[in-house]
Amino acid sequence: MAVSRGRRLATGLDAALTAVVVVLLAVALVELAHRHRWQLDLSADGLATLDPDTVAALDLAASRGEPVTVTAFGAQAKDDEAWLRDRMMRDFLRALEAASESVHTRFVDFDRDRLTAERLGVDRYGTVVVEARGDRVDILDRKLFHARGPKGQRDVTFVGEAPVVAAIRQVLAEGGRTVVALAGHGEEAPYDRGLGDLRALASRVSEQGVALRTVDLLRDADAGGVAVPEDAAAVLVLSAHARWQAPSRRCGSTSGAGEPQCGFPRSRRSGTILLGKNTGLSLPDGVVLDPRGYFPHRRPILGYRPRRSHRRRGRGGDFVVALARRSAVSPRDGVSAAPLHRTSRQGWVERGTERPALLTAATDGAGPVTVAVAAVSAATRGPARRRRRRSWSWGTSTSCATGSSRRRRGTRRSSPTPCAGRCAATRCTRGWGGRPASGAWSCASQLATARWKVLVSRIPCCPCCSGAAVRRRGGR
Amino acid sequence: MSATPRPSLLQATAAVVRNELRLWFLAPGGWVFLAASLLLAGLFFTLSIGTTGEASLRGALPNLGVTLVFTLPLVTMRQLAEEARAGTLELLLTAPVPPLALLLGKWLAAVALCTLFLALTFPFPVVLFSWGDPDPGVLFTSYLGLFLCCCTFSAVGLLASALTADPMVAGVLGVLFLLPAWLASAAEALAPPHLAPVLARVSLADHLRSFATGVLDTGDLAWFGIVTALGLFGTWRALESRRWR
Repeated sequence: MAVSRGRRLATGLDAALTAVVVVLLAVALVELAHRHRWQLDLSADGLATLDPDTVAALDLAASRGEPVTVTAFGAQAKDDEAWLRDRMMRDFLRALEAASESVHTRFVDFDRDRLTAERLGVDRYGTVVVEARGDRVDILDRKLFHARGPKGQRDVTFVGEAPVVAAIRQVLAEGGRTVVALAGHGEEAPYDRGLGDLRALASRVSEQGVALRTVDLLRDADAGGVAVPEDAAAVLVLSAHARWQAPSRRCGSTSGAGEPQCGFPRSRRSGTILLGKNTGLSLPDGVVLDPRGYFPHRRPILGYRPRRSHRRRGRGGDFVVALARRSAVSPRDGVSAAPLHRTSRQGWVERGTERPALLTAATDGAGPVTVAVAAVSAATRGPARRRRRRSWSWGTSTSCATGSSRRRRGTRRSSPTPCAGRCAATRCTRGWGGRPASGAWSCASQLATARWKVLVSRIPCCPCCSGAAVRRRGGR
Repeated sequence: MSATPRPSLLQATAAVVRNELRLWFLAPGGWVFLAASLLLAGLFFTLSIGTTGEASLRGALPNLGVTLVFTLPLVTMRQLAEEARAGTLELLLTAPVPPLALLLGKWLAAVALCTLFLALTFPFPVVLFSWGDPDPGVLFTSYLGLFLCCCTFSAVGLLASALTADPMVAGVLGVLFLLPAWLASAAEALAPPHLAPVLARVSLADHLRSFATGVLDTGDLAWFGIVTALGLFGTWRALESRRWR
């Protein structure tokens, strides 16, 4: 039976309209599913899942409505594992972009897209550039990947999540407050992963609204740049490797004690540094400098240890971070920053490795510069007030880490497992240097050579973190 | 005389599937598809692990996908086009077989054939587990991604087959439907910035990538499901249009 032309037209039109509606509906559904996607990572190591830290940073970007651009440059093609590095970086960028609409990523082939590299002033393969609000942070590839094993059989691991996130936090930091972590003289890198990495520290600093950035003094000095940026709110120095210079006659004076090449006067009885007494600095009660801190080139680096009497008095915790700072730090409520030491010269910067410290007034800015500050927590409210002291320890291989990070909140004792596992050949004891210190597990023999440690306790703003222990691998 | 009972949707679908599979394996079509696909898959797998030394299907997955882009439309091209050319489609549409059963049966038959192909690649995981330490989760999602490709490509191939009475044209049409979607990811880099997100949504390779990394992404699962449904809907409308064209 023939179908009339009019009926055919009407049916055809109806079919066409239905098809259009269905296609539009499908497009809308695809978009909806994309916007409200949910992911389940079935891989064994969960590499495709972003760290909670990363998610928090992305949320921060989204909440501020600031677009962040992450540009990653490809690895050098002649490297055997270049394809793997590029792929891991691409995966990470995709994960970033999928997790936040505020973050825009781009992967650039360094060899093919030289214009982009030149525009951004990038001259190294594998560099990642994070930009926002006119600010930018460059991350080198050695901070993004760890490679182990012989050439051709290298096991390459992507460790760049933390540095990129820190860079995002830094470019988003309000007021431009930046803490600069020095590197190049054997200091520990805040973003190195592995045993006892210091990412917890980076997170703590970030939580206080301060971005953390690493500056390699040696490399920057060789490149002729300014080692410590002028806009740095503070400088953080972690773990040093060389011995201190014995105080000279000149250094013994009040003015000389602050000279970079001088050591500091110490207590005859305990050997601790007596900055406050001899240099007129204002030291918080109970905070002394740890004489076991060392620094190459005879530059003093400060360590801290709360006095036991201080603890007994219960005057807040001792969240002590070694800082060489250029301007005031404004920590959160409950944490006060007190300067520990200031230079008596016009600035403070070091260039070069072999030659003596060089200071250029024009470059280093006006002084005096505060080179150390103790941030002391005052637990005045909340559950942290009632909590027992806990410790963070930063050390080298030598400081067999505390297991405090695995402790449950509110518990006092830490698991001895990390210590026992790491110090099989040595005696593990609880305390620092053989002296009992509640809440810290460490190895006495290793602590004898520990070069840096910071004790943290009762941080009111983040009680769950206050008991974390950070372990360090051996020195380089 | 008692009337023949009308088969249920499930029975009719099963009958169509059986018939399709029988037609494929009685003729060389199904065997050629399996042989060619397995040959290419083996080649890509060998090249992938030989080049990267990586104990996973990640390197081979895009190549396996593109293999299916070309081979599956050649399988589905004759499913409806051949019936239309031989005139048996009219009989089928007037037979007591629901059109939905016909549609689902033909699609499921293509999916079953493709699944058989995937099952025959079992030596790949065996090799990986024997000489390496692959991630089972990633392997699972990789195969799931390929299975979803089978479902989608079969639906699109069926749509191409429903649009014409010439099997060869249907095959070419099927590849033409799928290939741009596959190449969209490559075009993203060249496209203007405002077009890049559109291409990313369309791109098959982009949606397959999460499976290659061991991630089940609801966005990608939905994409495959929606495109498959769209292909089947288009096929159904194309079959329906024969009643009034």
